[in-house]
Amino acid sequence: MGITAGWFALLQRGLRAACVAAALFPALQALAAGTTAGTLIGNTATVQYRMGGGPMTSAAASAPAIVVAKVLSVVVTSQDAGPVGTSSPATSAALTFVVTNTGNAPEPYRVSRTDNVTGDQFDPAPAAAGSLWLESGAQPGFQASGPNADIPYVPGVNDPTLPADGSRTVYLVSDIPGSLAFGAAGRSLLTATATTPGAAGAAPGTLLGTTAGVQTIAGARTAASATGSYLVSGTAIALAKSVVAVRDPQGGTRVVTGSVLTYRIVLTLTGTGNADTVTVSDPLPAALTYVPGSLAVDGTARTDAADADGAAASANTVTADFGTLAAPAQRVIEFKATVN
Amino acid sequence: MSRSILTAAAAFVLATAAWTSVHAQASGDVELRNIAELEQEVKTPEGKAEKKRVPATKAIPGNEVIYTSTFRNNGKKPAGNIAVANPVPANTTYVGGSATGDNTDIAFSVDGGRTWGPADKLVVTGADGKKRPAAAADITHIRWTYRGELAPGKQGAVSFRVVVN
Repeated sequence: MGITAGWFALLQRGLRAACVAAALFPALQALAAGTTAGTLIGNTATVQYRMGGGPMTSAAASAPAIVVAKVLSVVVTSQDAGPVGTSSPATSAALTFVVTNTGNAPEPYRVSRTDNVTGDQFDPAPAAAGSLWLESGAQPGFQASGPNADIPYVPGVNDPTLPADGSRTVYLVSDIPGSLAFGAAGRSLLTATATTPGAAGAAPGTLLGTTAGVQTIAGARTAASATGSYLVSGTAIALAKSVVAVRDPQGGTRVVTGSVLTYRIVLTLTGTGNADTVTVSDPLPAALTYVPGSLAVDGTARTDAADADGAAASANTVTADFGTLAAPAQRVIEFKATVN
Repeated sequence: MSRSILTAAAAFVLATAAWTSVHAQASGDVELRNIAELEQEVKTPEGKAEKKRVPATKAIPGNEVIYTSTFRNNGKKPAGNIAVANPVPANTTYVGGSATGDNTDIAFSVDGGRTWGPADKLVVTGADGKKRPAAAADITHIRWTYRGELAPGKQGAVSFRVVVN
C-alpha cells in the first residue's frame, strides 16, 4: 500500500472504530456534551510520490492542533410528577429538581430560588429549616435530618461542581402559609447558573476567558430554570343519612311495628387529594332489624357477606369499604330495615 | 493572512508567500503543508453575509473545521504517483461529500487505512453484527491520488471538512 498514516493515527482511528462499533449508529460522541474541553485535535497528512523515476518518497505535515474550548451549558428539570400536595400551613415541603451540566467540562453552579412566580395563588416561603438542599446520595428523596440527611446548600460555599454530563438533585424546600383554600397553587422557580465570571446572562458564543490555553465560551444556556408547584390538598367527608321510603304492613307509609324503612347514606368527599381507607359503618339501633339482601351501593346490589364487593351487613351493622377515594367524590349507600 | 482564504479552487494559484506562514515538514522534493481553518460569517460593507476562513486554533463541539493539504513540487523533475492521505482526526466526524481535490481520484477508508474504496461502496459491521453501508461518520481516512505528473514549481491542494464531536 502506497499511503499510510502514522501508527499513532492508526491506533487512534482503530480505537475509535471500536467505539463506533459498540455505539448505536450514528451516535459517535462519548458525551452528549461533546468532546471534553482542552482536548487537542491534531491532524497529520502524508504525501507519497516518485520523482523522475526514482524511489517512492514520502513526506508528512501536521496542521496546528485545535484546542477544544470549554462550553458552558446547563439544564434544570423538575422531577415531580405533578403539583406536590401540601397542607396549609405546612413546613419543609420539598420540590425536587435535577441540575445537569450539558457543557463539556466540570463547572460549579450557583443555585437560587424565585417564589413570586405569576399564575398561582400563593408564594411558597423559603423553609426556616433551609430553603435549598443538595441530595447527599445516601437515600433518594428529601431528608432534612437523620443518618441519610441531605446537605443544606449555602451559595458560594458548597456550589455543586458537576462534571460534563453530570447531574445533581436539588431540593427546593418551603414553608406553606396557613389559611389557604383547598386547590390553591403556589409555584417556585429553581435556577442554576454557571459560576464562571461573566457567565450569567452571557449570549451564546461569548468568550468568557481563557484558562491554561483553553477558552471558556458561553453555550446555549449558561443559566437554566425549571418551575415546580405546590397544591394545597385536603379532604373533608360529610355523611347525610335519611329515610327515603316507608312501607307499613298495610301498604301505607306509617312507621309502625313491621314497617320497612329504606335508609340512604350519602357520603360526600370535598377538597383536593385522596382520602385513604374510607369506611362507613352504621350500627342499627335495637328498634330496627336489617332486611337481609337489601344492601346497595351507588344503586348496585351488594351481598351481605364480608367479601370482595366491599359492602357487608352482619350483626345488625351495615358497613361499606371504599378504600381510597379521590376528591371530589360521592357515594350512596342504601338498605332496608324493619321496625321491631 | 493569505492562507486564511485558501480554497481548493484557489490553491493552484496560491501565492508563494503562503508557504512560509504555516508549519511544514519538507522531505525530498515534494513539500506538503496542512492547515486547519474555521469558516466565520462576516457582514460585508453592503450588509451581505459572507463566509470568511480563519485559522482554527480553538473550536467548540459542533464547529466545522476545514483541513487543506497543499503539495508542491520543489524539485527540478516532474513528480509522479502522488497520493495524499489524511486521517479524520479523533473527536471529529467527517462531513459527507466534503472531500475535494482538483485532478485527483478520492478514496475512503473505514478501517484505519487498511482498505480503500468509493464512499458509497464501503461497508461496516454494525453493533448488531450485521454489515451495513458505511456512513460519513464511519470514515477514518481519506486518500487523494493525483492524476498524472506534477511539473516542477507546480502545486495542488486537497481538502475535507470535519465536525468537532
